[in-house]
Amino acid sequence: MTLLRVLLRIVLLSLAAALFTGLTGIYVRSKHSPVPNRQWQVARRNRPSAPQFSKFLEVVGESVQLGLFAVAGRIVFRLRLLPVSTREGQPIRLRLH
Amino acid sequence: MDAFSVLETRALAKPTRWRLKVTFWLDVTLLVSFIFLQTVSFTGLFLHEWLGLAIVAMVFAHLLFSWSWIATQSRRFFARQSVRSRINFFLNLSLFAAVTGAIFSGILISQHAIPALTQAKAAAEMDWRWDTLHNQLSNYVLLLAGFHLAINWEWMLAAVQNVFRRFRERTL
Repeated sequence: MTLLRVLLRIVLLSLAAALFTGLTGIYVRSKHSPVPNRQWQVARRNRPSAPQFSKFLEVVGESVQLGLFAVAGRIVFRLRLLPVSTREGQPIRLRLH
Repeated sequence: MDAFSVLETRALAKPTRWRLKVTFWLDVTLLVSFIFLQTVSFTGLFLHEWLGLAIVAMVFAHLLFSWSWIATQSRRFFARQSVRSRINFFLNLSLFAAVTGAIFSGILISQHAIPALTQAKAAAEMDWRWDTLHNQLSNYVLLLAGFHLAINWEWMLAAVQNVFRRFRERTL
């Protein structure tokens, strides 16, 4: 029964994903996007297949960028959308059911 | 995903604790994977593509664990709701759409993983429309993932405290 329910949910999620995939296809076909410049094309074609650990700083950069987006979002959501007080000691629901 | 709802986090039952732990570590893996997927020069194209395919399963698992929230919010879509709930719903829907589009476009421009799975030769010419879209959607995913983290901040902190408190208790 549980397995059936999970399978049904996977089917529903797959349908939603298929819908978005279809919409993406329609968008790409309907949009005339210019061919990127030569430099970009060369860079995209020559991306290395193997990992380059010397580029670890890029991982740090992306993490910082994600953190900045989270902090920016946090400031906006906290200022505008806070429905209940989150003062010290107030428990938080972990939505486990 | 409604992190502000109130509930006691102490004295969780065993299956609930297990579920929290799995959800938490799955989310951490998903987050780290998203960051690695943004840095193709670090991971290399080969790992990038396989990680991109693995993320499909992680996203599905993440959504299955959040199913009760998805079902409730979808049912309440036309009912009166707080601005926060509505924004959260559209944010998550946009994130799902962006991730789906990024994965789909990634599959279409794949040079290693998809040709290996289908035993076909990789396309000699890159389809720039899909490549450009893949790049744009990846940037949107990063932005929306940041907002997703922001709106679920309280849940995240509570989960971190809960998971690591139990870890500390066991090691002491």
